[in-house]
Amino acid sequence: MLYLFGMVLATGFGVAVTAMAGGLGQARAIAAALEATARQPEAGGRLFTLMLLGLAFIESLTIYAFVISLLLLFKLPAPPEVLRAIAGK
Amino acid sequence: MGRGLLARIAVTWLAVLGASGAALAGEGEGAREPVTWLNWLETVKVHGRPVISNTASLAFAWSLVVVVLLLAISLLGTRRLSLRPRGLQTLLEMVVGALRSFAVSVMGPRGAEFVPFIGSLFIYIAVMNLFGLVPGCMSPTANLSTTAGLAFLVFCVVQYYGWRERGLAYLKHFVEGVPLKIWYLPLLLLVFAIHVAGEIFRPFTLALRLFGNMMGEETVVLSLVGLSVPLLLKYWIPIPVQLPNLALAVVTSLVQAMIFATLTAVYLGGVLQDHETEEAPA
Repeated sequence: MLYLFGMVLATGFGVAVTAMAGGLGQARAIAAALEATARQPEAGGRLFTLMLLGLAFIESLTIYAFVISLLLLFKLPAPPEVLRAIAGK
Repeated sequence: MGRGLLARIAVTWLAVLGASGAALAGEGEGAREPVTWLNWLETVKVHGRPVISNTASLAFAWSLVVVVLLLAISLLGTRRLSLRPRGLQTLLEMVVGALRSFAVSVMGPRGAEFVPFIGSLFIYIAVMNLFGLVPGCMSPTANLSTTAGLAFLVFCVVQYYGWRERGLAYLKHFVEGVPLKIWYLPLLLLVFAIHVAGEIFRPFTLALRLFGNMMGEETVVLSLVGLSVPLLLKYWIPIPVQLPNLALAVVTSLVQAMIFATLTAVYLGGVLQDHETEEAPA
């Protein structure tokens, strides 16, 4: 019962918390790229490429958490079994 | 004019919805085994064992399809090479030129030697990723086996070139920044261990990044189709809920291929001689 509880919480909160932190990190990267582009618009193309590269790195950390979440999601039991577990315990 | 246009829009909309639905066929939870045009290979038996028994072998079959397609395009485009290109050769030259400038910009002048490797990697991964968006096809990169194989290949190539370029001094490259005196031995060992761990970590991140992105995009579109197909079947309301995510999937497919190729170029640039910048990120 506690196991189910823990698994469901982990599945839900895993990606949520990681995405929050990832969003903050990506915000800093984009802000820096935008500021640099405003200073020197002719370097815009190269800066955009670098920004995309940096964003993909930060995103990949969230993707790792997402993969774990997906693995857990497919291990969650079906609702009848969960109800039986809640009623039985 | 008005009615004809409306009819055409409606038909296109229904076709796109139906096609996308069939592509990720198997709406609802628990649809693990993808339903593709090659699934009939599960019934083909060689020496008593089926040719395709799990998703990994299905992914392998699809990667063979991708390879055959790319081979066909290359052979068709290079049949009558001329200094004044026409037709398909123009397109291929544009692609190769772009990849060459990309490789040289990341790796420096030595990048020209590695254009075939990095270029092939980029085109192969991009086409594999985009295959998943075609109705009835699956992207081989949505399976960890394919991406792990690619990452292992990149790891082997980087290590091979590292050893070939520097010989035994390749080990000295691991302990950069620490003077080679005997009383620095604990620090040397620590830095060496950290660097080796970083090197081992790289293929894992490469594989997981590509796999996670592709499987994630596939799962998201599948879930959205699971929303819209019952709506269509029961109430005849064709709302392709997955369309914005499909568009995003095209972008992320290309971006992930570029990321993989860029990281390979950065790792290769790091082990080549006379490359004086700091270490590549993990």
